[in-house]
Amino acid sequence: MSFKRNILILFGLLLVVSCTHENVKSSKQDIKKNEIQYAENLEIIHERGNVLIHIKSPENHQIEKKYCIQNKTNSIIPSGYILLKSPVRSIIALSSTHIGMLSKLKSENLVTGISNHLYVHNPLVLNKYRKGKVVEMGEEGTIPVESIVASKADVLIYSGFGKSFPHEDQLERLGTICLVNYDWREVHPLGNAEWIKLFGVLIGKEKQANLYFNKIKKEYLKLKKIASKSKIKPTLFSGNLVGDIWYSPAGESYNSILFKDAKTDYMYSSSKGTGSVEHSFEEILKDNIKTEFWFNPGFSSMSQMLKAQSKYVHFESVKNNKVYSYNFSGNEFWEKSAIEPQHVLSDLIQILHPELKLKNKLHFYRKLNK
Amino acid sequence: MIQTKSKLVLYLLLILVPIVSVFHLFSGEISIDFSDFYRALFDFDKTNTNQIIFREFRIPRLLMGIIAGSGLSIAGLLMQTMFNNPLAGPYILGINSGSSLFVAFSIMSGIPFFISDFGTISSALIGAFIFGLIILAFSYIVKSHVSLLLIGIMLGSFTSAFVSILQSMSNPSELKLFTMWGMGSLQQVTLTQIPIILVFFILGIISCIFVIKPLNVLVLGENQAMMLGIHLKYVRLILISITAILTGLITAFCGPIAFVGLAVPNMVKLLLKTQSHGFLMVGCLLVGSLFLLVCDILIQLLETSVHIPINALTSLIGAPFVILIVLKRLA
Amino acid sequence: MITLQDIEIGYKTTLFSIENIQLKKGYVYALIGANGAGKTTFLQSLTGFNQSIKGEVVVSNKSIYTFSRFDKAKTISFVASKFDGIDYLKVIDYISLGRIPYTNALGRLTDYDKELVNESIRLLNLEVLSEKYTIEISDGERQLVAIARALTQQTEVIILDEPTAFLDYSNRKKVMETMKDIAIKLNKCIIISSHDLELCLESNTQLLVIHKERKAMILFDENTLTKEKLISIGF
Repeated sequence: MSFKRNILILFGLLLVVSCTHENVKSSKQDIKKNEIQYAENLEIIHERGNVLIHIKSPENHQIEKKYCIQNKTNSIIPSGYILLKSPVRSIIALSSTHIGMLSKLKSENLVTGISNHLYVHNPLVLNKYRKGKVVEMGEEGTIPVESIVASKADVLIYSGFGKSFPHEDQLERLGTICLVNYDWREVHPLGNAEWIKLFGVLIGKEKQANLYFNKIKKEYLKLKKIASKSKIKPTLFSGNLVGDIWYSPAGESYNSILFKDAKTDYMYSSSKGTGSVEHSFEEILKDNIKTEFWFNPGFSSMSQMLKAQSKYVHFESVKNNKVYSYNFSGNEFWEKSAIEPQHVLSDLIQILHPELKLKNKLHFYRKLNK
Repeated sequence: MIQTKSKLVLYLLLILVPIVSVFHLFSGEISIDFSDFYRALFDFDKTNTNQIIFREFRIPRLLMGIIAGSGLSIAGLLMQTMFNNPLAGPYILGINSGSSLFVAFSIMSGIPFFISDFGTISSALIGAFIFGLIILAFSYIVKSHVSLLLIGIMLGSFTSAFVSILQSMSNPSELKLFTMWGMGSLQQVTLTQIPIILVFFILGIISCIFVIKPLNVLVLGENQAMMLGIHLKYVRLILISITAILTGLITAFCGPIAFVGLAVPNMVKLLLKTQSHGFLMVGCLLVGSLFLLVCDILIQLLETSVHIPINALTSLIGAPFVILIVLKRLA
Repeated sequence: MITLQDIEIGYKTTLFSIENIQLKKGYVYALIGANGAGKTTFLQSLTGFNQSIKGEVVVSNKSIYTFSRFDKAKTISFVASKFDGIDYLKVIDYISLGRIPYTNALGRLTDYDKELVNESIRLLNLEVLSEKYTIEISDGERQLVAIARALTQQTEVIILDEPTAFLDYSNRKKVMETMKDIAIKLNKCIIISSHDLELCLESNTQLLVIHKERKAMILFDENTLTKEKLISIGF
C-alpha cells in the first residue's frame, strides 16, 4: 500500500515538475523579442504559433491596434487581437508607399484596389487597373463601403489618422480586415522602411522582407559613415510657401534626420517636433538668403517656380542654380523613397558633397530645370 | 453739405494715414531701422538683406493694403447706395465668385490647360472679367435692382456648388492651397506688379468722380432718381463697371477680403454724418486704408504666437460692427 | 399747359379714355376715382414714365415722350405719398436735391441754386427744420419738406400722389391750402390725387373725376358738384 502511494506521489511530483518545467520553457519561448529595430509604431512578435502585430499610435507610442496571424491552424488567438488570414491573397492598398513595399517583395500583383490611379507609378499595377483588374476606390474619407465589400479583398491597408476606418467592424464581419499603417509617421528613414516586415508577414514572405531590410540598412549606415568623414558641412534649407506661411521640416523630422545623416548644416535642425516648423517669408529670407542649397521647393522647373512667386529670385541658391527637387518623378518618389531610404541619402550626399567624388547615379533628386 | 466737425474728422484721418503707414512699414518680425528704410528707397544695395526685405516685402504689402482697403470700401459704398441697402458690399453682385471659380479650376481641377499657363492671378482676373460681363448683361436687361441682387446671389451660390465639387475631388495639398487663397493675403503681390495695379486703381477712383452726382440722387431711391432726370440704366452700368474693376483687381492680387467693403462705408457715414458722396468717397479712401492697415499691423504683432489670415481678422472686427448697425437701424 | 386729347389710359388694357381736357397753370386739379380705376397709371403717363395705350400727353405743345430726361425733370416734378426720411440726410440737403436737373456734372450748387432752396424753405415756413436730419422730423413735416423739394425743382407742373394719406386732419388742410397758394402765387399747374373727397370739395379745387360707368375722365369746375353726385359718378 505505502509503496503504491509513494509511486503515485512520485508520479504526481514528476508530473508537476515536468509541467512547470514545460511552462518555464514555453514562457521563455513566449518572451521572444520584438523584431523591429528602428520603427517606433510597429511591433512584430512570434509566439506560440502566432505572429502578433502591434500597431502603436505615433502620438504616445501606446498600442492602438492588435492583429494576429495564425501560423498553426489551432493555435489560440489571444483576446483583443483581430485575426488576419495569412498568407493574404488580395490587398486594397490606399497609399503608394504600400505598393512600393509590396513591389520590393515582388508581390504587387496582390493589389486589387488603389486610392487613385493618378498617384500610382508601378507599371504592373497600372496595367492591371487599365484592364479592370484593379479597382479605384477614391480618397480615404469618401470610399463607398459597397466598393470595398464587392472587391472581396482580404485586407485593406490605410494610412492611420488616429481614428478607425469607417465601417471597420462591418467590413471585418464581411471578410475584409482594415489594417492601419503608420509608416508615414515614422521619424527615422530606416524606421519607415522597416514596415516592409509587416508586409512580409502578411503575405508569407517574412524571410525576403528581413533580407531586404538588412541589405538597405547596411547600405544606409555605410553611406552615413562616408558622409561623416567629410570635412565640409554645406548649408541647406527646405520647403516652400503655402499662402503666407513657409513650412520647413522640424528638427526631429524625417527630412531633418536625412539632412543630419548627410552631414549638412540645416538651420532648423535644432527645432522641436517631428512635423513642420512655420515661418514667415521674411524670416526665411533673412535666415537663408545666403544658404547654399535649397531642397524640395515644390516645383520641377525654375521658370514655373519664379512665375508662381517671383520673390524667390533673391535666394543665393536660386541665383547659383543650386535648387533640387524630386518633383520630376513625383509618383515614383512617393512609391519608392520610403522603401529606398539609402537611395535618398545617396542622392543627398552626392549633391551636397561633390568633394567626396562618389559618382553614384541620382535616383530621385534632380536639379531644377530652367 | 457737411458739418464742420466732420470736416475736422476728415483732416484728422488724412494725417493718420501716413502715420499708420509708417507703423506698418516697420512692423514685422525682422526689425528694420530707419537707415535701411532710407537706403532701400534712394540708395539701394542689392546685397543687403534688410533692404531687400524692405523693398520687396514691406513696400508692396503697404501699398496693397492701401489699395485694397480703399478700393473695396469705395466699391462697397457704390453698391450700398445703388441697392439702397447698408448691408450690401463689393461682392454682392457675385463678381468675386467668378474669381473664386477660376482660381479653383486653376488649383484643383487637374486640367493642364488651367494649371500651366494661368497662374492664380490671371485666373482670378479672367474669372472676374467674365462674371463682370455677365452681370453687366443682366443689369441691362433687368428692370429693378432687387432682381439684379437676386441674380448676383444666385451666381454666387452656383459657383459655390461648383467649387465644392472641385474641393471634394482634390488632394490635400491642392485643397490647402485653395483654402489659403480664400483666406486673403496682402503679401502675394510683388513690387513689379504694383505700378499696373496702381494704374487701374487710380482709373477706378477717378471714374468715381463722375458718379458722385447720380449717387447723391440715388439715395432717394430709384423712382425719385428717375424723376429727377437720372438715366438709371446707364448709371447702373457705370457703377457696376467701376465695382467690377476695383473688386476684380483686388481679388486677383489678394484673394477675397471680407467685411472691409461692408463695414467701412457704414463707419464713414456714422463718422461724417452726411450723404454727400464726394465726402463719403474721400472718407472711404481714408478709413478703408486705415482699417486694413491696422488689421495687418495686428497680424504682424501676433505673428510669433499665431498666424491669423487677414480675412479672419477683418471678419472678427467687422462682424460685431455690422451687428451694431443692424441693431441701430431697428431702434 | 397740358393737353389731354383722344387719349386712352391703361397698362395692357384701356382703363379709361380722355376726350379733351386742358390743364392750366394757376390751378389745382384733384384727381378722384375708385381703386383700380387707373389713377396711378394716369399719373405715370403724365410723368412720361409709362406709355398711354393711345394718344400722347402734350405739355407746352410738345409730346411728353419727346422730352429729354433732364428737360422732363425741369418740367414735371413728383411728390410721393410718404417720405420716410433718409439716414444722415439733412432737410436742407434733401431740398437741394431738387436742383439736380440744373446743376453741372459734379452737382455743384451755384449761389442761385442756394437762393432758390432758401426761397422754398421760406415759402413753406420750414426755416426751423432746415438743419435737422430728415429722419428726426415728423411725418407731416416731412411731407412739407418733400413739397419744398418739388418747388425747388422749379417745374411748371407738380404732381402729388395722395400727399395727405398719412397725415392728420390739420396737416391735411395745411397741405391743400399750401398747394392752392403755390398754384396761384407761382403760377403752377398742380395735380393732386386724393381719396379725401370732403377735403377736395372744401378746398375748392378743380375736379378730375374718372367716371366709373363711362370709363372716361371728366373735368368738373369748382362748385358744380356735391359730394353725393361725386360718389355716384366715380364709385
